[in-house]
Amino acid sequence: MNDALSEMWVPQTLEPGKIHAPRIGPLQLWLAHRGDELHLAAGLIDETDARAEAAPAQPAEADVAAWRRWVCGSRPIQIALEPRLPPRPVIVRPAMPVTVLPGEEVAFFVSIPIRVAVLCVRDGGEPREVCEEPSVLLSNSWFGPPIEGELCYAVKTHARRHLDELRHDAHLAVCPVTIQNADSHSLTFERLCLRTQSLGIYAGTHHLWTNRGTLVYRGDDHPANITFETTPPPYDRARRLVAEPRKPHKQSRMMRAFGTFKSISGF
Amino acid sequence: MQGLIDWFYAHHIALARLVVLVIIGVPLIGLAEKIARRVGAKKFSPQGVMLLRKLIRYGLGTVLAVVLLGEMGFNLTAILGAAGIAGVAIGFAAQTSLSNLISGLFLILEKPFHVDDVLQVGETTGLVHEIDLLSVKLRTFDNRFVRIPNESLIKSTFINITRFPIRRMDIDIGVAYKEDVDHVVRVLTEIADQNPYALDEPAPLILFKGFGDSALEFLLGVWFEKTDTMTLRNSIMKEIKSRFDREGIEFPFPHRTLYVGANSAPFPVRMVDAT
Repeated sequence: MNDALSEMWVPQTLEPGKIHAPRIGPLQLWLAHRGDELHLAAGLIDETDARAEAAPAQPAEADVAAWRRWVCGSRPIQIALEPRLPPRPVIVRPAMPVTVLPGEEVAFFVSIPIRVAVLCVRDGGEPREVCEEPSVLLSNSWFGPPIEGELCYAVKTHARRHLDELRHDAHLAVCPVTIQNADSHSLTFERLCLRTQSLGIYAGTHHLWTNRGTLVYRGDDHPANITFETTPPPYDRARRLVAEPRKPHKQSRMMRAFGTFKSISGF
Repeated sequence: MQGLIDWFYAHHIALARLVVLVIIGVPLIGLAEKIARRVGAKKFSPQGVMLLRKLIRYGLGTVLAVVLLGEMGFNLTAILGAAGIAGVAIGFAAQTSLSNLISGLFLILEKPFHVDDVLQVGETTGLVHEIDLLSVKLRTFDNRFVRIPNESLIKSTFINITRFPIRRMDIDIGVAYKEDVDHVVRVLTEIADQNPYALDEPAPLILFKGFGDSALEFLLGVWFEKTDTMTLRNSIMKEIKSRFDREGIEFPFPHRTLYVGANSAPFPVRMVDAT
């Protein structure tokens, strides 16, 4: 990982009275150790808003709505940031529907916006979690039929086909997924549901990475599950595990766009 | 006093039997209830468990009472006969309660709603607080207690608002006739797309409904997770207003001209420079 990216996840001493202001992609944090309290404020840059060119302004100390406080003791503390994947499954759409011909396979590099956990470390002890902030405010989405589906996040960054298309963003973790069409018919899909809770995050030279997943499609009659490896992905020298999975390793699933959604969203 | 002592000596064995029956019978009923609660919790809804417990309590209680009366030397045939006649009389007198009771059984078996669901019955909307054999109790959002007899509930139409995990919020929007329909549709699509509480799947519904008296009428239908009702409504309404203002899309509203009398001219209205 390059220096600027790797330093982001190294614990930093929070000197009393000074403000530490790490920036992770569109997420700007302000941290201060005042008395026996840790003060934290967060701001998000709206990347879709052309008017938001600069980082959000630091809130004034007296702005009680902006700052949150935690009692952490008056002795010196260190603050560690840890990347985390979203706590719900994410649904990713390729830039346009993709059809995989029988016998072919395709690799996608899916960029998933991370959340940043703020941890407090004192006297070299165990890190204590302070809070978790999203780097991007993700929209809700729904996976499954409307009477018994699952609440997910919609990821609007498109799934990329090649490594060199990936943006160098500190707030994105790349999930490599390979799809093999082992059926005798073409496979067309419009979206991919990734259960990110069971994935770890690894630091590479230029990006954060998750475990690699493989999906083998054998026809509509067979369940299409993504099997994730438990080892680091073979890209970008990503070997160092920087975040454990939220849940024990499980299989994830992929689905094609449901026709039923069209019937319920229109008259 | 001597008579009481003699009676006690004559019946002490029967009395001991009664005491033993009560000591063993009552905890046994409690134990059966506990087992039913534990086993039923895995298989039935909370209302079903409650019903099962009541059946066990009153059923076994009746059996124990009959056994005790038999031990005391009462003629059970006569008592049961009298109970049958009394039952018919009580049945006539308590027709409404029995109807509620049977309706309650149907509601418990059909399970159209559960405790903590949001129910709309007529003009009343509230959280289901309790489901009993005779009535369903609702707690309205302004914290009032509403009791609805099961019989009237089973006869009427009610809406379980939170039965399914996602719902659609329909918002009627009218814009001025001068506006470009495609522009309005594009702006509404972007508003729904950018709101984090609006689900992107199922896709939002945007419908050009028609030509109103003074507005082009649109319907924006956004899907949301059922717990986000208030947050979505508050946020998307604000976003529609601010985004329409920014895009210069006009909301039409009724205009009135005021006359002071039948023969007088209307008040003159004159445009003046704001500066």
